[in-house]
Amino acid sequence: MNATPSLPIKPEPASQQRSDGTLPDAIATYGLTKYYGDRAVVDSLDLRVPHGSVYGFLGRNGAGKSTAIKMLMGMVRPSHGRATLLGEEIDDIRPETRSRIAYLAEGHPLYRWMRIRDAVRFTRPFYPTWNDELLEQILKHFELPLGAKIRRLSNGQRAQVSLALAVAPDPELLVLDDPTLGLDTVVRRDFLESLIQIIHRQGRTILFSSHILGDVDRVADRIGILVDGALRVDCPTDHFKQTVRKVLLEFASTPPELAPCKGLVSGQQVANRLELIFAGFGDEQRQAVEALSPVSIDVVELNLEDAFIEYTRGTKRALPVFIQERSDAQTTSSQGAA
Amino acid sequence: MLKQLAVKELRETAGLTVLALLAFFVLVTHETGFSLLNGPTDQFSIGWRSGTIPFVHHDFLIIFSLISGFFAILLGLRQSVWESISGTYLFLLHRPLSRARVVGVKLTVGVLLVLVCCGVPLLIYALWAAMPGTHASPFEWSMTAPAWNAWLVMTIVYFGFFLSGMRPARWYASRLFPAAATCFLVFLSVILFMEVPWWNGFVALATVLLVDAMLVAVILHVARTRDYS
Repeated sequence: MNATPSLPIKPEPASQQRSDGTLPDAIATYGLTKYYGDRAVVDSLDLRVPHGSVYGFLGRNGAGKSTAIKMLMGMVRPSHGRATLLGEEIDDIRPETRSRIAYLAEGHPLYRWMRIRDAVRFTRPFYPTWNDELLEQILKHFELPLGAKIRRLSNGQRAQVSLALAVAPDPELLVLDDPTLGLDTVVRRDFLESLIQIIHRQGRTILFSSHILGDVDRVADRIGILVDGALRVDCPTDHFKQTVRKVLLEFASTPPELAPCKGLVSGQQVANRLELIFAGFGDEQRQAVEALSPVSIDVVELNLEDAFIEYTRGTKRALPVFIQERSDAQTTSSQGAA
Repeated sequence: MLKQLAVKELRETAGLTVLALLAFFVLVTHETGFSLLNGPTDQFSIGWRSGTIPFVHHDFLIIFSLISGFFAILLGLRQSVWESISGTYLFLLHRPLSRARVVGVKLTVGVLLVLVCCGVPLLIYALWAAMPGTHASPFEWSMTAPAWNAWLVMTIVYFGFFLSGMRPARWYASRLFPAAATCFLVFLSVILFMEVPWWNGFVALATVLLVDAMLVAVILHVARTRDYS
């Protein structure tokens, strides 16, 4: 019953997404693959991030998001395939082009011995388009004094410094690897609001990976989902939410097996109920479930987080913590009957 | 931007450099017999560790080599491994500058630190020894050659350990191979200097520079091709 996630939400050709038909995609990968030993951490990744879009790059832990981003940024060498950033091959990217790209690595690495002022002094000379006014605005907004030592800052403040340093060169492309990881809810929200302001203010291309689906839902106009290193979803965020459906079938007795069906991602039997996850629930799928003659059919719309979880978790479910309670209850009732 | 990189390297290695300079200071003051607390301690105006001939007795060369060696080893590792451990390669290497230039600045600063920090105390000691009236023993500049040989060879030690720090391999496996190879080369150089008459001057210099060049080429290749994950 538990089918492996298929490829029902296919990438659209990049050429169809561009309105003017002239700009190349800000990010394009062609069969990008990385092996660690025998394991393909990223497997034939064909990713297209159009200019001006905010792309949420999703996946569970170990799905290959960070490795894919590091390959894009030239930190990890691909085993196969190639990629372009702002139209240039990543292997031969010129420093002038690289200066138009900002990268926030996971964990916000900064030199801890520096003060914020030192970090600014260190970073500024690399970028001809450095915008001091913007930097001051961001630091002021986050209430970060230039004299503060980086090692004394909290995780959230270091994230803010990293964001300020990344945005100050006025980059065309911003790549953020799990920028809100480890931040508390308030700081995360503040960080995200700032990011949204930057997006609206400058209309730049942003690729960011995240575990916080609420964040992605608020910001991203397009998402890609990596499952075991392969890109399974690449579509507008709303399209994904509208496509993934949970179908609950109630039966009078033990549910029958559902035959393989187009769009079926996974299925789970819970007592007399069958929970099915579909990517695309149309007439064909409805006929297939009706053929099982259930007592009731309930089609549930999912938010992004639920859709992501149902789409990516496969056969795994929560720990059966209530088994013990149930057996306890049964013991109690039998004792009562006696 | 190269200046910023150089300043960063100097700042990050300042602690090690100060420690090395302190050690050399103690060594040189001891060898010249000059006591910080009591001033000149011997019959000569500046002082001298009596009974020893500068640069000829082996204590100086051994201690100088140990201090220089430790400094070169720690500096090489500090500049390469530390960035990996703290994850700052990810902050540094995506800047709009070729990787070869970033690593080149590191190596330039590092090797200059080794040469200057080890060379200046040696030069001071040699100048003191060459100064008439400072010690009751003969002195020829050629007597300083083994020490200069050790000084020069420290560049190989530095590059070797930098390469070990840079290579992404297991520490208990092939990662320490460059370090072990450089230690062997240093040992060989000492043997050659003591036993083989032609191993001096330009031959030693040319050999060390050749090995240095090879190590730098390998370091730049590793820096360009390794994964920073």
